[in-house]
Amino acid sequence: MKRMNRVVLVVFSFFLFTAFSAQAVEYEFDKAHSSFRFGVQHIFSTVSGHFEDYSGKVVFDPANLSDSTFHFVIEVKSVQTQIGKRDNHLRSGDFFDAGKYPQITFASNAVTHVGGPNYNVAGKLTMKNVSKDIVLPVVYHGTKGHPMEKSKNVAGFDASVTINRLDYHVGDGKFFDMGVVGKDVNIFVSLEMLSKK
Amino acid sequence: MPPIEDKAGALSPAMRNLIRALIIVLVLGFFIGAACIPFFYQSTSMWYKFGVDRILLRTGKVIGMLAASLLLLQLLLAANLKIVTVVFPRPKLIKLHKFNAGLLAVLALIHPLFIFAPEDISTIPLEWKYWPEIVGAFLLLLIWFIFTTGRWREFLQLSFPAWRLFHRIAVITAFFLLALHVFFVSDTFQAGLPRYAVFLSLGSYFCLWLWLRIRTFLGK
Repeated sequence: MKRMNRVVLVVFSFFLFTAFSAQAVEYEFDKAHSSFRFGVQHIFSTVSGHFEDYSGKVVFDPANLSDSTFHFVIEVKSVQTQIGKRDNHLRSGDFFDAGKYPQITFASNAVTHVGGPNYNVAGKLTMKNVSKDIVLPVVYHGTKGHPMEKSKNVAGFDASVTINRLDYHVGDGKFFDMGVVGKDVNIFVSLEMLSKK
Repeated sequence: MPPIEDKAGALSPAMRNLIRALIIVLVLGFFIGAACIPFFYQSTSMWYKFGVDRILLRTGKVIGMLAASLLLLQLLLAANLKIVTVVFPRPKLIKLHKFNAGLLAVLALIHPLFIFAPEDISTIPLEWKYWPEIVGAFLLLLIWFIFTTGRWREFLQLSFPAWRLFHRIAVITAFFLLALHVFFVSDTFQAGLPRYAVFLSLGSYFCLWLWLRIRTFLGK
């Protein structure tokens, strides 16, 4: 009977452990060390910028990708390229039309492991009411105890993808036709995400 | 207010006409030159505007230049300079000074409306990098404050000495705000002829103001 109890206890503990370990972890942004950046060609050079204001939720567990999600909301009016007048122009109807379309969103619908630290996050990118399916190749750098904050874990992600801004009606193409602003925009996402231990 | 003396009798009519014509040509040249800057030295922000947007932006800049020129001219009209009062009667100069104040207030108000018309102003965040525009907003408020306190001084029950003191302080503050706004708000004034022209205009204004203060201090 005693032996039977032990077996039940071990089996129960195993299920309890696997149930908890399979629970994907929800992360919050460490905004001081995260960024949503972009680069776009201007005649010959590349103009870089970023969005200061963003929010969202990352739920990720390499062992439970079916429950992992990436959801980002970017506030368009927080666009920064170091030149105020250019930022105003980007917010205007010539590009983002921030008054009418204040947010850019990305919502994942599947996360798959490609190999090593590489994952593909498939989802919908929505800009100016145009939604397109894209695949965001993500490099997962791992999770560890935060060296500066003992009560938290930190996870690192990097992602980059190139999109055609004209697909999302970010600009009507006149600046592209004039050879001034390129249509391909390189997006770089670098995240340090925090979770409770 | 002390009685205003007409000093026009000191010169021959021909000489008076010549000086008058010279002053008018100089002032008109100053205004035309200022209004031409947005056409001949366009800022990079103009490159990306087309059609109506470009017209609005350029008009806004021209109006801004005219408002700035009027602001500088105001001191010349009120300075009671012998070379001016000898050919233009002082009552007319003061009348023009008051008319210009109203015109300047209206132009200063229209200027940002045209500048921001092509943009969606509601999406522009209040950030440090927009400080030249914020300085411009303070300048606009100050110009209207100067204008309303001057226009309705008696209604506001301000004594003439108190108003004059306030007016002098407010005007020199407006001058410094104007200098900051013009030099930093547009890349047109980062280099070249527009920068030197603004330096020369502001420098001349400041020298005249300084001289007037010294003249007042010495009681002349």
